[in-house]
Amino acid sequence: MIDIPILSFLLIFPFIGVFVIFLLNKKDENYNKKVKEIGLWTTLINLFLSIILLYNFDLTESSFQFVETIPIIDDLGVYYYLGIDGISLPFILLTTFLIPICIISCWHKKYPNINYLIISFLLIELFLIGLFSSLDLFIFYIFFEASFIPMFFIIGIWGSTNRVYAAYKFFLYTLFGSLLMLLGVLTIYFYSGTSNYTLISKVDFPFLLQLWLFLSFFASFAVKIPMWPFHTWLPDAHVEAPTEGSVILAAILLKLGGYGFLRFSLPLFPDAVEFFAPFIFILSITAIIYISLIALVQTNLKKLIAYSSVAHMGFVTLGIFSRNIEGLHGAMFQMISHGIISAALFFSVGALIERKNMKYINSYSGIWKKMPLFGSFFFIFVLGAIALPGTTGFIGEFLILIGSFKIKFYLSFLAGIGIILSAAYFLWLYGRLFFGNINSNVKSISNLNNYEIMIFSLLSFFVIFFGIYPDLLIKLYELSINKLIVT
Amino acid sequence: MLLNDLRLIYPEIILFFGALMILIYGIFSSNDEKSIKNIFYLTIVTLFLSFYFSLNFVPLDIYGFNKLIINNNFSQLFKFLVLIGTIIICFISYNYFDYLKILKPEYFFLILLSCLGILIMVSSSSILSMYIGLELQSICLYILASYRKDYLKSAESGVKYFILGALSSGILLYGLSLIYGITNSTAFIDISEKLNNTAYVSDNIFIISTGFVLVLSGLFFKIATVPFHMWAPDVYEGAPTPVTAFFTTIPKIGVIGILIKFLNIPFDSLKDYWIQILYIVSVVSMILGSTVAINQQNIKRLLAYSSINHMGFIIIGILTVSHIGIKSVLLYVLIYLFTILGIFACLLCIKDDKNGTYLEEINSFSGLLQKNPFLSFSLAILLFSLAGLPPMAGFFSKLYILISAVDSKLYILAVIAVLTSVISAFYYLKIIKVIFFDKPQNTFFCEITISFKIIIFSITILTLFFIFFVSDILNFLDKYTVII
Amino acid sequence: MATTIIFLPLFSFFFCILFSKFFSAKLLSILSTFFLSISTFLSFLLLRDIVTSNQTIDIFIFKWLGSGKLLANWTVTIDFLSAVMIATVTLVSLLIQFYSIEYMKNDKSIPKFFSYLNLFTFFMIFLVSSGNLLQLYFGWEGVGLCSYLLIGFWYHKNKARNAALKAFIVNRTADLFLILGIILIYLNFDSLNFNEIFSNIEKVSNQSIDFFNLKFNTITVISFLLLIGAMGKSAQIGLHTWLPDAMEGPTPVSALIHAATMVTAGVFLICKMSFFFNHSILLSNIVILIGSLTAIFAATVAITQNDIKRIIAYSTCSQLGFMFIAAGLSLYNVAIFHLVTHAFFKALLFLGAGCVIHSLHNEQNIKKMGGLWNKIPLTYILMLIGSLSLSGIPFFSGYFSKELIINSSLNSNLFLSNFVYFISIIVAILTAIYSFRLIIFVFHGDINFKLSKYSSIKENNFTMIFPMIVMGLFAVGAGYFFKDFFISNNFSHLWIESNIIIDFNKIAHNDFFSFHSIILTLLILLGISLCFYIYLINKNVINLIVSNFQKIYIFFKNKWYFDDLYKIIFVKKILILGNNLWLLVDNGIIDKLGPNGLAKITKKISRFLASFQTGYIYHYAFSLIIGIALLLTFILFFV
Repeated sequence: MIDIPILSFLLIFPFIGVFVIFLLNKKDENYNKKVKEIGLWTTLINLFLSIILLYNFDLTESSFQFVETIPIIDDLGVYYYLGIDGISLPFILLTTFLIPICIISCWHKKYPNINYLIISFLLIELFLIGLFSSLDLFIFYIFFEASFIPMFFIIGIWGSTNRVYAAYKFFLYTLFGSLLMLLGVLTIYFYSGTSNYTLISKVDFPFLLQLWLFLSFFASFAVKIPMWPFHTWLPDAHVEAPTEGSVILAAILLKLGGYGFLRFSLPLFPDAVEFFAPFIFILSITAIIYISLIALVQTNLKKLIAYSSVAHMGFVTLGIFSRNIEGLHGAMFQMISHGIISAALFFSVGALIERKNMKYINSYSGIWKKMPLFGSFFFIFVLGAIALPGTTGFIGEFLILIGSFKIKFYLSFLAGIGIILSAAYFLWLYGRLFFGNINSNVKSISNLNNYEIMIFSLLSFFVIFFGIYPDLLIKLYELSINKLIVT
Repeated sequence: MLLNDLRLIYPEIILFFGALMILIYGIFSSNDEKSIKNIFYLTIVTLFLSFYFSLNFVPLDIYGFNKLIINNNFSQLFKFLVLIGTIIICFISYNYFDYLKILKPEYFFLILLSCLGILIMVSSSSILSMYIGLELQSICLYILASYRKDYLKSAESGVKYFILGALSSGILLYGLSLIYGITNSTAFIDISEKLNNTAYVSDNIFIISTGFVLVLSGLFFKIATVPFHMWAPDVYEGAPTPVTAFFTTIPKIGVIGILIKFLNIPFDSLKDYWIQILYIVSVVSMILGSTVAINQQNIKRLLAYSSINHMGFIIIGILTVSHIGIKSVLLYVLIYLFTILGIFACLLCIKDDKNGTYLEEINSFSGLLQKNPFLSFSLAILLFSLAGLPPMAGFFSKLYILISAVDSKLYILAVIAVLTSVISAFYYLKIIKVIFFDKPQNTFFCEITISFKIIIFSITILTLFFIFFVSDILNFLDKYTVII
Repeated sequence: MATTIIFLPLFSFFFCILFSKFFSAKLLSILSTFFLSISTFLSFLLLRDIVTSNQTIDIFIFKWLGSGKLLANWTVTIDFLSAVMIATVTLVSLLIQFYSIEYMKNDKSIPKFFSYLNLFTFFMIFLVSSGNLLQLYFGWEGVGLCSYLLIGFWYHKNKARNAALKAFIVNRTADLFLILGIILIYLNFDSLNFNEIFSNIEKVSNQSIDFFNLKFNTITVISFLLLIGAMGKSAQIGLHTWLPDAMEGPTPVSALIHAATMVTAGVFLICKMSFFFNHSILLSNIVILIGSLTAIFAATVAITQNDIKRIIAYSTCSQLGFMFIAAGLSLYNVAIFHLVTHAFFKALLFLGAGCVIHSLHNEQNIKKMGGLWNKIPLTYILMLIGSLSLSGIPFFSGYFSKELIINSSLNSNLFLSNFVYFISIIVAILTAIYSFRLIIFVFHGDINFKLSKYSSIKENNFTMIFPMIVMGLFAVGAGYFFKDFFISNNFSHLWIESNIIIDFNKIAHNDFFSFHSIILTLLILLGISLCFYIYLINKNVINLIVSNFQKIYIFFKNKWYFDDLYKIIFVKKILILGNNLWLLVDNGIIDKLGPNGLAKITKKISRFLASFQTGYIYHYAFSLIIGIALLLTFILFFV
């Protein structure tokens, strides 16, 4: 362990980046380039710091590490109280890994006022890291709700035609959920007299109170993850958002829900979870099958992938609420792997859409002929998404199947139908895009540029690597997750 | 004896003489640039002086003018806020009137006079002084509302405000007289003594409660809560923008101050009556304020409705009748004051190219981001703060109100507050959407003088980084939350 | 050595991918064949070692997945069974790669083709040499993936695209049951390792689990789930529909994946898990029922088809049915025996078909062929050998395995065994008929296409013929020379060592003059001669038959209507359902009632409330008075 407050540094650097960007002189002719460089460097520094974090992380320790406490609101007893355990570390790594990639991916694109885009990325990174590492309910809440704001701007400013509607839907829907959570937070605060997570986790709430609190947190997390039927904001948001926006949304923001369940709902309200679990299983199964069926008939590239991620999140909730070791491990793994895969998929369809500016599947055909390399990358990502053994997707879903089988065999059977359907819609999509006769739109398509090749090879490497050696990741969260197991 | 008492009203005296001097100077000087500037400086100096005196030379917790006036920390805080707010308003209103060529000495005179009225009202400890203060500030406001004689809407709003205001004052006065008739005493403490006698109260409960309700209605009218809000949107829209800024902030703060005093000192014993009333009023105000604003096109009207919504929030804080409740009200008022002033300051920087009028239609702000990022971002931050999103200041004010509500088990009220704040987020986002997402359509230009820059920038920064000194501010407020 | 055998194909896969830019396609194909020949050679050495030393090779590579009690490692575990499979797989794929050098030489993307072949070989070997079920599943899905890629190899053809998708989805459906079976095994045995599972089977054997309050024996349920998985891979009846369509792929692929190796994975699985499948009589009956139904179904369909590759595909289907029958009769070793012999003669047939198609410039309809025997004599002879072996003429390899299966069904005391015997006799005759129908239509009879084309036909060159010759040799001799390994007591220890139940009493040891063998042989010969009669000598008999049995003929011709049924039930209905869910429920109900609905309502309310804002002072004053009145009444009468 080292004694410098790395977590605070992780929070400070993006802020400094924003500050510097504001200081830059706009008149400068290569202003945009400088902005991008600053953004890239700050995020890379953060990546580096998070790797130091990983390096110093004590795998044999299941409690919180790198703890920092500074009193911030005295008369509420609110502390600026940071610390990470095996659950939050993977998410922090995911964040610090994906944000630089997003910045690289918009390097060659012609976004209008790019400086604000970069600022939004930095702010999102700041808020997300703060969210994943804060152990005080109020601070967590502040970061949680603050993280909507940059996303709102990303969708609204750089989105496509129907962006305003999408931005509103996203923002108000999530705001609604999170404000209900705020009431829950306040109730916890008044019941336990503190907002300090470690102290609260020792309190046991009366059953009825637990039910209410669970529901109030559920309102927020279920919207965020999103669970059926609170998912309708997601397809719109994804379709309208720019590529990088969709990537952040799908890869990280959706995980807030799962993280919330793991961090708060399970340990704080065990009885309520016990009580609501069957209900949530129903929702998850519905999400998996119903949403997969919907994804099957999508004609819009991004919508299809958006729906697919709802289905995958259905697996996550299934795993979390099965609350046995395989289910929880699987859910955690599924979240990280989906973080990588969905990011990759959105980058891929983004690459297509930005080339031809056509969102519909049937406007592409026989792409393989023009860009075989892209085809291969996309195929690897698709394999990940359909949970082929040897990719990250499989590990998570297999463990979740075991976990749900332990609860009831038909849960895992129905979930399995979801896997079949996912194979159906993804491979059908792939076939329609890449196979078949090449059509006029595709004839003029340009091949991948170096940035894209770099991003895709990086992501596909991780898709395969964690597929054949998942132990690396599992070790990271094993101890912290095992505390949540209910036998 | 009397001279001793004068010490209690140093700030008021200063304001009064300042106002008189302005009047005299205005009469004897030719109305040219320079003299107006001098008057402006004079006003500022007066305000600062009175602020300084009220800070240092005013003895606390002594009755003066046989129980007409009493200053305590609570009233002091409101005085500070009022004076600071007035100073800022003077600064932001100068350019506006100057540009419209209607910058006359009487404007500052009226501002100072109404400010004086508010100070008297806030520090009053008797229904008499309370009424005098209230009327003084109202009368000035009637004139201010119709200050743009050439502008029809302004005149209209003046008339409306005058008639309705007169009506409400009449009601208020009637209520006061009833109370006096029952308790035959004017000082708050005497009244409360009388009302502590439960037998006596239950005998004449009818008259007491009638008078009480009438007084409350009068006060509610001044802070424009439902169902006494009707005048607000029209008057706000019609009145000159800086005056609107004044309306939305200063008098309301004053009235809230006296409202809290009035409820907690004389009518302490009738808690469970007025809590019910406040409950209803706050619910309907929050709901109406949030919903109706959705369809507004004029930003001043919109702010009028949003302020109705905010008043609803503040009343929650009042009706919890707890230390934390009052504290949350103070915090809310503080943040509300500065945020609103910041927004108005931003609005007063944007003029239309063609006819050079100040923009008021929301859609006409489209593409402000391209024109002037500084203003756009300040506006965005301030509006998010009004919507109560973390980490802006507004979040903490709302948070504190909710805390006080949950603390005194008012869960339903808290839920309603939350829902309405989601709805109200919608229309704040509408403005932000126009500024950030829409392509520029109509042409306008932004001129930001140095004073504006300072005001807007400092307010924005304070709003944005409020979390870093929220603790200190709460500690600071602690000492001012004692009402009696 | 074992690791080399396994990872050489993988290496050569990457080699083909990475160096496709630098080397010429020809060179690459030759190199890859060369690599494969090395691992083939090694695999035979390995087989020899194992036969001589009779020990199991077990190599730990690294940990794969560990969570809770679950532990799955990457391992190479080679017992006799795996060794046999590996030898067969490597040999067949070697020959087929050799063949493909010539066959594919005009194709644009040869490196891709060879890399896929190598990848397939790798996955197949990995599958058969896995030490735990999860790795087996990995290989299982891997070969499915390769089959997807290779069926869709000519991606520009829409038919190929759809066939590939169909193959993958059908297999995925079956694999779901396999994975559920695996999970159930894990939950009962706390392990996925074959050795631990087999050692603990006694403990679990009399446990039971309840589905919807019905008690079932755990082992039976597990093996039932595994069975469905196996049916999918081995294209048994109901899950077979992908196999004929898979013929859209290049012919070498059909020969390698869809005849010789991948489709037999199901049989392999059943034999590997013999302890489970042998556990309950019910299940054995189910297995032989499925096997026999598949056999008869595929045979009847094969008779009516005209596409040369589809005919062979259906015959593959029916032969797999035979293997299932063998497994069901718990003659796992015989099943493997038939698997091996079948691998050779069926691959031979496919390659022959490939030659025919090649020399007729991609003509696949046998009705448009004829009289080729003197044009391409070598091909003719080799295909003749294949067909004879397929129809089980004595001394050809097919005879030894198939005849065993058919006659052994008499020895078994299973409830269905006689039925199965009867069925399999019929199938044997049908087999003879359809295979010789093919021979006749292709090589004899009158020429049904342009003479100009006819004259241009010439024998394919040696690189294509040579591997066929090698296969021909195996097709002739394999049965006779290798049968001892499979069915004689001397080698029983090998099977026991590799955890496979064998019971020699059940096997009908065939001397050629036993009653049943002679009957069978005679019947088959009868079938062949009949076939010659009706297709060559007296043509109008066939028309007579068709016209008399119109209904049945149509029924067979339409493949028992399986495909149409599935199209209606699964494809169409599901798409409609999805559409409705999306448009009606998602956009219709959830959105309308949810966010959009709320927004609309709020807007309505706001308009309504705003309508009070008339702008008339007296309205305002009125509302003020009303407000006061309301408050007063409230305070006076309600508090």
